Amino acid sequence: MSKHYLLFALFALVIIGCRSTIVDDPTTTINFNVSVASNVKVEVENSYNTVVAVPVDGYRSPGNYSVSINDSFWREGIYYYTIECRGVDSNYYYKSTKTMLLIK
Amino acid sequence: MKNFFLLSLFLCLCSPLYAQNKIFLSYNPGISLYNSENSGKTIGDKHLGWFPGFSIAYESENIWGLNLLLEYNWTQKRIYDVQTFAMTTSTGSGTLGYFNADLILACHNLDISVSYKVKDWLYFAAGPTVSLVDRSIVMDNLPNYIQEKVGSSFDDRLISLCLGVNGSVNIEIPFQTSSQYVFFFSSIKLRYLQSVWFDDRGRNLDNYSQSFIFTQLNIGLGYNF
Repeated sequence: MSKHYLLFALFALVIIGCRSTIVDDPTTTINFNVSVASNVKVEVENSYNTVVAVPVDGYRSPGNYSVSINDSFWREGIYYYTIECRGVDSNYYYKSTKTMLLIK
Repeated sequence: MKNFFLLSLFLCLCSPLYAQNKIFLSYNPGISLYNSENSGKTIGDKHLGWFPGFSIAYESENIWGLNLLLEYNWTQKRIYDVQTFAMTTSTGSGTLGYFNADLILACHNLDISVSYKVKDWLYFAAGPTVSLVDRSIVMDNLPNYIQEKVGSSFDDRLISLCLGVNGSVNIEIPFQTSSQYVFFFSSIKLRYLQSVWFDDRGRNLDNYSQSFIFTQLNIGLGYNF
């Protein structure tokens, strides 16, 4: 399989609570940081309103995380990934959607 | 639908034998009243705004007591900078370059209408529409690093077939009175389209559909023969 190049649109790199990082790697990897114990959900949606992957959906204690996504069946194009965090012991809530481009 | 289209085409082609006919050429600036793309993340609530279009039409009078109007209409709209991308390093610590994505929406509409003469200069027309819609997200200002991988531009293209209805109010003002004459033509047309088929090419389109409502002002010339 040819190389994958992911270009993530930047809205803000540093975000309170969760921090997403940018990758340019043959595999599709999303790194994020959880600062408050939360239920975390990461969804990837194509540009046609369909969720194509939910690589993270569950409790995460504070720390750095990395999730790899199998995109071998994805078509080239624009995708959106949404990170949603709901604090377990607090009212903390965070949600952010960013854009990425998949070129094979 | 296919049979109806073939029958319509057959009647139009045969009609010169026993009916009056008209051809129209017109320019059609239009606006979008509703665009389903606004419910997605790609363009958000950005409006299509006005868009140019051109039409060529043929009307055959008195086919089984009806005036049948066959119109091909082309419109295209480009919305610039619907997304801005930043090419970053693998750690996300630096930005290598920025580029934008535009959305291009092109519609090839075929309106099959029955027109009703209210007065010598005033007509109403309505009927079904078949449309081929080309929706493309285009990036043509890519950084050199990406151009080396994909070429000078990249586009994410989706072709769809839409069905719908159209209705119009038409005005015709002849330049002279004779059996064959040229006339000024103007109309206001409303067109609704709903997608029925996509060229998905392996993409998951389970939750995607297209629907549009366009209104257009037609200004042009016609010839009665």
